Amino acid sequence: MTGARPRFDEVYMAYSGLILAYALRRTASPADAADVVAETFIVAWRRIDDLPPGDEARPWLYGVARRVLANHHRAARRRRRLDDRVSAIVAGVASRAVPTSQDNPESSAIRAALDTLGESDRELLLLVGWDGLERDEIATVLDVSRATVRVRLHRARRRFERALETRGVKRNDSAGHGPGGWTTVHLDPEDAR
Amino acid sequence: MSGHDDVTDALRRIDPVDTDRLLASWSDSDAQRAMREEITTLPTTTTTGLDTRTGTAPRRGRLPAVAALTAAVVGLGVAAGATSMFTSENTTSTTCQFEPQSSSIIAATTGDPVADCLALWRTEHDRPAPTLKAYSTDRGNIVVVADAVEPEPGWERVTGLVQDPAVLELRAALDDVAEGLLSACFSTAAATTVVEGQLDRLSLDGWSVTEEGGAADGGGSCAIALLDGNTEEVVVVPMGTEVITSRDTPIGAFAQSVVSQLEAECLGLKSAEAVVLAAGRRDGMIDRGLVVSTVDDPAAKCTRIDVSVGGQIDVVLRGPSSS
Repeated sequence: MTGARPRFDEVYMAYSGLILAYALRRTASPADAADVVAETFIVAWRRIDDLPPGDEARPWLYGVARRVLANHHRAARRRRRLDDRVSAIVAGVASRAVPTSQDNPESSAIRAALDTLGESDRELLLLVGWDGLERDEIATVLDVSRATVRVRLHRARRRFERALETRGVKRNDSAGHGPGGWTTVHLDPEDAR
Repeated sequence: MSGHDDVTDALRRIDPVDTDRLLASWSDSDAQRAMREEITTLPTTTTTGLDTRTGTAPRRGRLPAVAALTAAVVGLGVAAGATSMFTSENTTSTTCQFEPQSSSIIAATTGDPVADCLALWRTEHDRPAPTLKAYSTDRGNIVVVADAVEPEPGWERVTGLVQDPAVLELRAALDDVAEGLLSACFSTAAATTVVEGQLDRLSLDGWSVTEEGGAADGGGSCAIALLDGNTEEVVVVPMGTEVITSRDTPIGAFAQSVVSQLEAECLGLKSAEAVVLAAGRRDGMIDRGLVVSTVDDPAAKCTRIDVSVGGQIDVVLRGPSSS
């Protein structure tokens, strides 16, 4: 596999951190995230000839990670991919990137709104909002057409906006609006119904 | 589309990961390098069985004991040792590769990697195992392959007892949820005492204990231990948070009960195994993934036990098979 190592190193150095962030957002522990990343790049290592060229490798890797994650969640028992020591070291780095607290009314309301959405809607929105992927990249990750992504994403955004409004989180168009354009107007449970 | 629209901004406010911080600490870190080295030592002629087009993976049966030290480490200062490779003798894990499509990394139990992988095979298959051969890779890792898998150039064939059973028992004892470092929140000093006691008990005279990364107070911050087989060191490091222990859980209660019973009675290996399995059935541990491994120790008078939890409940019994 002459040339395989340089190509692997290139994609690993470029994208392993992003894949770690992706996994960390969707697993129960930093160590689980480390295993997902390891499995993803093991696939990349062993299928280096299938790796798309250039930047196209990024959505390809997210697609692999997504399927690894699905298997990870489905597995009755976790399968370790890394030596204990490496797992602990990686988990240590990952754990430092988890914010200590997001406990405020606005964040709670946004999370609650997100929780009302179906899994497919959530996945689309989070690939955009958290992982920063473009529409055509999402199409590769999900193995669907770009048009399908556009339509589904549009619907997911509308549903999320309605859920935010229902929970008293609405866009503040005034000059004094808070960060991100959203602010919690009121959180009385009666109003949230 | 991924620009700063309101929906995206709302989601970013609840992003559980600080990406900038993660990338800053990950890029060019020892952790990143260590993972890369771990991955690139694996055979390149196979796949994990994950079809990247359809997302399906072969269904796997039960997997064996994997002693998972999955604690998060904050302020880990073991950078100097992070990329050093274990010698085969001091490795505590083994890669079992039965077919080109998949491999598993398991915790070494007996010190004989072929025997350990054979045990794995038996948990997953009803048919006889293929011929298995163990190799030491050029990085000192142990890989066991079946006939269908071609060993990589540079691998050296190894046979019999390859990994030091005392080192394996050290690992298991420190991971033990009833009495090891995952049984409670240990301060750095207390954890060091535990480690020194284990090194003494196992006659690992060449090994040393070092403390790195500051001190755990045993309250909100607990200490864990990492084994570095290359330097023969146990490194005690503080976590930034508490250890998640099984102490007050059904698994913890099960572990405490079997450990107590084996400490109270001097049993041979077979009797001890029967006791553990009976307790496992009684406490519902079989369905939770109880895996019991036995290691013959002819020099022992009574069977001793370690219980670790890492996705499964792994019980390792070491004792005399003759009584």
